[in-house]
Amino acid sequence: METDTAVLVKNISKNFKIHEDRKYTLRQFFTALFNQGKIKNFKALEDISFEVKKGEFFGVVGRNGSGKSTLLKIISGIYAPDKNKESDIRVNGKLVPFLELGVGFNMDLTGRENIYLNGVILGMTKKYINKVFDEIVQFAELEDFIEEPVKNYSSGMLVRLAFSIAIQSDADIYVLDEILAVGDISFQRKCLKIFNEMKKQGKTVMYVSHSMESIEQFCDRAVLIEDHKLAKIGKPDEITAEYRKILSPTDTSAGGAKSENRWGSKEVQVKKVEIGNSNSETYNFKDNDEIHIKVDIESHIEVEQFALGIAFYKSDGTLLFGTNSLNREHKIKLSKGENKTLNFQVEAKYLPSDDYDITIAAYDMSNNTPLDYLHQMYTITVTNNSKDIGEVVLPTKFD
Amino acid sequence: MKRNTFDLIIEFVKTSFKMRYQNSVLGFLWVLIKPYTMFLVMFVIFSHIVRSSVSNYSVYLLTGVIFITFINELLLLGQSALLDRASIILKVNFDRQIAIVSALIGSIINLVINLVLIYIIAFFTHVPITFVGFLMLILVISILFIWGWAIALFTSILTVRFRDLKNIMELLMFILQYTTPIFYSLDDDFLPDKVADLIRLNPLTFLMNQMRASIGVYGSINLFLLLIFFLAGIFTLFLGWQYFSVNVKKTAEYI
Repeated sequence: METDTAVLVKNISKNFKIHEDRKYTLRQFFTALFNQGKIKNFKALEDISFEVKKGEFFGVVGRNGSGKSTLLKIISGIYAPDKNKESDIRVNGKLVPFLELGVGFNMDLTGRENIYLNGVILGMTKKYINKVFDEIVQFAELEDFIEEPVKNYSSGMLVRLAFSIAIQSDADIYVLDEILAVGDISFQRKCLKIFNEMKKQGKTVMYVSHSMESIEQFCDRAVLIEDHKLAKIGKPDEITAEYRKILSPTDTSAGGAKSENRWGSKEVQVKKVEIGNSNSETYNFKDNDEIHIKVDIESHIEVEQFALGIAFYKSDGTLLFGTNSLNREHKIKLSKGENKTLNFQVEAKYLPSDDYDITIAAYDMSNNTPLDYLHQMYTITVTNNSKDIGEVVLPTKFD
Repeated sequence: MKRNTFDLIIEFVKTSFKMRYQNSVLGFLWVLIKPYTMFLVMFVIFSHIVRSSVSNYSVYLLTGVIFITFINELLLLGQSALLDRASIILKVNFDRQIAIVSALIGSIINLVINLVLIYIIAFFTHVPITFVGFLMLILVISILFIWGWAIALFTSILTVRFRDLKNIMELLMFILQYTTPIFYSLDDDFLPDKVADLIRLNPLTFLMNQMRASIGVYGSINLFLLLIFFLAGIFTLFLGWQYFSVNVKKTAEYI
């Protein structure tokens, strides 16, 4: 291995044996011995190879279930990869994985006790924790609560504590899984600052995220995992563009059922979705932009009461807002073989800065069945300069 | 040993101790209350039924109860050591041996506290306590710990795959409780010869009586056989270590 390599992954595959019902008991085990047919093989990763250089910020992108987490667990030494002569996995330096914040946190222990417990689990020594203890408490902004049991903490406080401990672990290589998805905006900004510092210090970071914005902002290179294989490796903007293409149904419309995020009878099909501002196609919006969503549909049947639904989910997965064309008094009747284009607009100024997942759904409202449901298949990023707080920016007025 | 390994063991032991006794009024006293209640009940009943020829029956019985309580904890905690730490094992790659060792150390601490009390009682009931006996007691505890560790290296992994083993172990513990001379003595003509011979074959019978001998309450020390137990324990530990190292990583998938 070359000396400037931090992580080397070579021809790594991972198969899980899935038992139709898991053989937890001896009886099931023995019956399974004579009935091997019931054991199914699940391919989680197939022949993955790449190399991460020292000091690189390396993004990992892919849909849920594509195999990202398994890959991280193999690199972190939690799962063993399949045995294979050509395969090799090497880590050069001390690696600390953050697959979850606050591993081993015990709700009945105080903040202080949990700092020590979580710290040693992350590979620190007690002596070292003594040294950085005050810094951890300060960064987490928990000076007044540190002797309280953490079960009394809010979820925001827990995340802050966990992250503050995590960043003290003195590693050469960090593996971060979706860490920015938690915490409030001000804390997220703090995390970003830390990331930039790590980068300056020349630490190697492997970073998994569904936030295309942060991948583009931080990563030097990225890899796209699709369908358990390495689909593309390269510059972050190339990877995020490819990822968005994969999510776009224009590529999957023929065999659209392939995606687990898409379902419905397909009697009416969403043929094409275009997202952009009033001028051009884009996924990034500023607060003075208008978000335009143009949906082309094709109907294979007659629908008396058709509705197109659109919903916005925040990056933490909660539904922010959803509406449909019928709610908005827009009655649509489709005849067989009809093609139609529907336009939806909303002003971006109502949305605080965040990544939003958009769901688009074609519905038959007469019997309330989904015809073509595209669940959170698009992600847009809104940058809002408003200093207001909360989930939405309401149009308000002071007199 | 790496510094962090040591700190991690301490933290794990401390946490499980705290968890066990936190929010309970008597807290830590429960370590003593449980075996002593068992002892009292058995004493009241069996001292009349068995009418043992053992000279200091109360300390004899107490040592037996504390011995079997310890074995019970050692086997059950060692067996579930990996499953109990599942949430951490799936997220962080620390040395898995630490999970096993820290679970066993917890049970050793309970034993030591109970033994201190036994020594106090033994002193007041005029049991001949000797320094050599004390050293022998440490040897007996070491043997138990080594065997407990060696067995846990197998059972902790096997239990992840076959959850039945937990019930099997509990059943085994139940059987051991009656096939080890806790409240009776093999010197009494209490049992038919064939049954007594079977009980003598139980290795725990030997170790329990050696613990009694080292405290000075019953029988004599058999150093030769103890050393054989010790060496066999080391050998089994070595085998267990190999088995554990090879299989532990694969086990994460089944937790």
